[in-house]
Amino acid sequence: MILSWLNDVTEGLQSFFTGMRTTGKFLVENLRDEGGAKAVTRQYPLHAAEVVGERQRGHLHNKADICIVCHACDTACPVDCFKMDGERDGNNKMRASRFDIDLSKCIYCGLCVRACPTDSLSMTADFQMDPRLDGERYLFRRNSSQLDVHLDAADVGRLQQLSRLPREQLSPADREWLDARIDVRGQHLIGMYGLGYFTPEEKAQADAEREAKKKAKDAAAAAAKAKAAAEAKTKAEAPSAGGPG
Amino acid sequence: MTGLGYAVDAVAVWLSGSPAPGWIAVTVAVLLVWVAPLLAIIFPVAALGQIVERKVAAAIQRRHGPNSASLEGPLRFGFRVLLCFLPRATQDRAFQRFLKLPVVRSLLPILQKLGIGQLAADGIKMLGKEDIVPRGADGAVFRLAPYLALTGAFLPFCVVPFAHHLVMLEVSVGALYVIAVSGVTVLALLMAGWGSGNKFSMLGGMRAVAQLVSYEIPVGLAVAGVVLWSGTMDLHAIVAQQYRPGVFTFVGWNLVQSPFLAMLAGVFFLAGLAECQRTPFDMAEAESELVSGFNTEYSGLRWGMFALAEYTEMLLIGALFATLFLGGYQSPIGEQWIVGLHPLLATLLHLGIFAVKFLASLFLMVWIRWTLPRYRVDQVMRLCWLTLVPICLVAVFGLAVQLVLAGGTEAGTAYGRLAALPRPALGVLGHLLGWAVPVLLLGVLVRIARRRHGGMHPALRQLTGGGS
Repeated sequence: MILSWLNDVTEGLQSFFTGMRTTGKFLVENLRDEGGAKAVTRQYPLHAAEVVGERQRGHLHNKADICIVCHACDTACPVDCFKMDGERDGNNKMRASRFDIDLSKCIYCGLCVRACPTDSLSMTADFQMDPRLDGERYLFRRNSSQLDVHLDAADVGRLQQLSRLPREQLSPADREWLDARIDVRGQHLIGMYGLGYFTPEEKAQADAEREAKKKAKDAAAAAAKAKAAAEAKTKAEAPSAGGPG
Repeated sequence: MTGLGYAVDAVAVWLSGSPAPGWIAVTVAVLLVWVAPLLAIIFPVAALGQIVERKVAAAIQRRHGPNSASLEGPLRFGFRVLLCFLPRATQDRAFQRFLKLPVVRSLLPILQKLGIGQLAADGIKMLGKEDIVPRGADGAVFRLAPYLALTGAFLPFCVVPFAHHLVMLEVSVGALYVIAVSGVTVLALLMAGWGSGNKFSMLGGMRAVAQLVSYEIPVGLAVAGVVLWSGTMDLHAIVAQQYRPGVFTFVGWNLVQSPFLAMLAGVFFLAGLAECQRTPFDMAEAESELVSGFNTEYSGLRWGMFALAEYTEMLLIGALFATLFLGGYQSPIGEQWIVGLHPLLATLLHLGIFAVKFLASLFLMVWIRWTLPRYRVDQVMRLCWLTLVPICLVAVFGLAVQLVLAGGTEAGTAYGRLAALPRPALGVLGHLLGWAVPVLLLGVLVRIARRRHGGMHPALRQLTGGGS
């Protein structure tokens, strides 16, 4: 009995020292490396992640030159964040004249990317949405061509240029122009400027449209249900009428 | 009466203006000379312990730890308070000046990286919290418990020698006193659990008390072993007895004097961990499983007092460990030269050495905490009664045998009045034999035990990479 006890005690000691050695090794390793470069946690705004997962689902990006405005993404989207218009180009191909993604609605599910027949939609690795990154202007970094489609090219250039400057340095005319497009305090801001922006009126219209759509959908669903119920009823009656045959 | 006792007398006489001061003057003198400096040292060091803990934990877990809390806010507040007689604009200008000082500008980011700012932030947060007393609680008991816990943690420091004669109270039964007054903590935890008016808190309190009472036994036995070896309960004398002339002072430390004392040191440290309820023995709190025990109902500063008591007790265990086994405030090499220095210089050196020793054991405790998982409550008890207590008994018995075999005494320490105290005269051969025989015996026994009982668990063998 004493021997088995002794065995237990020595085993316990041995495992204790093994554990201490393991954590001690970590401790020395991490103290040695300067500034915690090996640390798993990152100080986000200071040190952005260098490696993002291969299948990271960041901002949506649409290659406007191959988009055929087929509305497949719109159909697939569970939150209705797309707004798009198209027109025929010289080759009679459908091309996007406007392709807006309301990033305040987007849930980054990636269903639109799966639905896209031309692979024009993709999810980028960029995940930074911090408004402060763009001079406290509630502008977001635009790494997609979506905005370019929505605004005139000249406007885009001007917007990007002006939005980088401190507000105080802008000329009154520029400021007025900018304020017409961007709400400085973000009070009337609806949706994020993933591409262009929605005015309150547009927002109201979109909401009304969505409501109507939803009502229609509900009505259709109710009708379908009633129809199905009626069919089931007739089916249920049919065998009994036919009898064992 | 020695050491600071003289200072107390002098201050009391000066305060009252008569050669025989009354009790009020003596009390004030004690507060001034003993209590205030002790609190002024122990509080910040205990708070610092928390930062050490969080930083070491972060390093072990590959994190950064607290490094973002700025010190600017607390400093600005300090400026506002100090310069409250000046207009606000002047205060701010002075503060801006202060921030631009090269020392401040280079030091502030470093302190922030070290997480010192977090300390201020935590403290302010704790001060700002509401002090809630549950409706069903026993108010007086509930309110009193944190103070008692803190008292139990602070009182033992009165007899710990920080340097030669730098001890609050030079009592001849210091070791007994330490064990006796740290029992106050047990009462405090019981009061906290009972007074909360919450059955889970009471269960937690019971759990904590059962653990504390059990672990008093190995702690007591380990101290008893040291007392047996030294022949005195005076902590100051125990330290003085570990003195050896010559370069290698550390051969006189109790830790290396005898294998049995080394065993007792290990047990003392482990049981000390359990006494301050640190992982792996923090069943009383069990944050992740049981979400606190006796202190569930506490909030704000009262909760903070329990936390501070825990860290103070860690310091205490470290200080006692250094005193009993690591030669107290003495340097490991060349102590005789330090003794020969100017008293003030020697005292400062001793203080530094003592701080290094008990901070090292603090670090070890933190390291253990972030290595080992928590024991189950029955395992905690089993470890105490079936492992630590038997080891202690064997060690104390072996120590006694060794003392009897050695016989005789050896005189001559550097510290005058202690020179005549009895101490074992083993000689070099005696020491070698004293180490060799028990170690060999134990080695053979372990060998046999290993062979008989199948060695390591397969999973463990894989982890350690082989082994018997």
